Amino acid sequence: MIDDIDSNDGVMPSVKATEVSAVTPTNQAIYEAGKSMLIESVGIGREFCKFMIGTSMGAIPIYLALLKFVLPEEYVPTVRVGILSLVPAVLFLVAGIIFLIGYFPQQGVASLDIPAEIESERRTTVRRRQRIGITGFTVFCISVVAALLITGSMLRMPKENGYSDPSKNGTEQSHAADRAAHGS
Amino acid sequence: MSKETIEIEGCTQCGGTHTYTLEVERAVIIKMMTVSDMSERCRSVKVTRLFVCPVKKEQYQATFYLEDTSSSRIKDVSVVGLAGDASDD
Repeated sequence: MIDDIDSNDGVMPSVKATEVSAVTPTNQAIYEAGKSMLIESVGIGREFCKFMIGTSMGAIPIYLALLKFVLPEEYVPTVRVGILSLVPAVLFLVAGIIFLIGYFPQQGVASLDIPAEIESERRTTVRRRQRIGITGFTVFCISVVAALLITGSMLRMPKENGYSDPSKNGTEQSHAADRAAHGS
Repeated sequence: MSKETIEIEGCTQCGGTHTYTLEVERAVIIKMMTVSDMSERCRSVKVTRLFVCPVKKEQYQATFYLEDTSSSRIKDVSVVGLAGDASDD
């Protein structure tokens, strides 16, 4: 006979268990999943920020290269067009900086003897990284849309914006020369 | 948060009876009591939690029922430990 080793010290139980069983395989799997979610929750936000730093910063040269590819070689943009076309690159940089802030190590104090403190620190960290991740991703999406819009509009750049077509200039000059020759 | 004790008879690991302390988090809703609230019956909430047998140090699960009302809804139930356990030996 096994003695009950826990002494109640006169504590009257208010609840009685109705079903007692070994941990079912489903519950065990759910428990393990919950454990890994809890343990990985801090690292996942950090990994996402780390991945997005590379994506955001890498998008800057890609966008500039795309712009260079789309625009003609002799194109000289106006100040307004130049500033407008740099907006997506700046937004990618801002998104990258936001993700960098999320990836940056942060300081906190928690006593290992007090699980509540550890849980509080964990929640604070997860919430902070989630807010930063959402903000950074929003800025990233805006910059992608802006890049698409500006690149698309550059494809249909009208001639009046300082761009002169060399082949058409040659034709116009020859027509002018013909008119001058016929006139004289 | 309120503390309640639960007695588990017939532990699947050692066959004994153990008493644990539960921490019950309730959402207290302050509202005007109406006639229907006066005659409101408590609702039974089925809760399944994992417990650790103090003899075999193995886990097992137990299902129990707690009661709540519309002004005191149960949000979370967590197992604190053995009732009256002062040390972690």
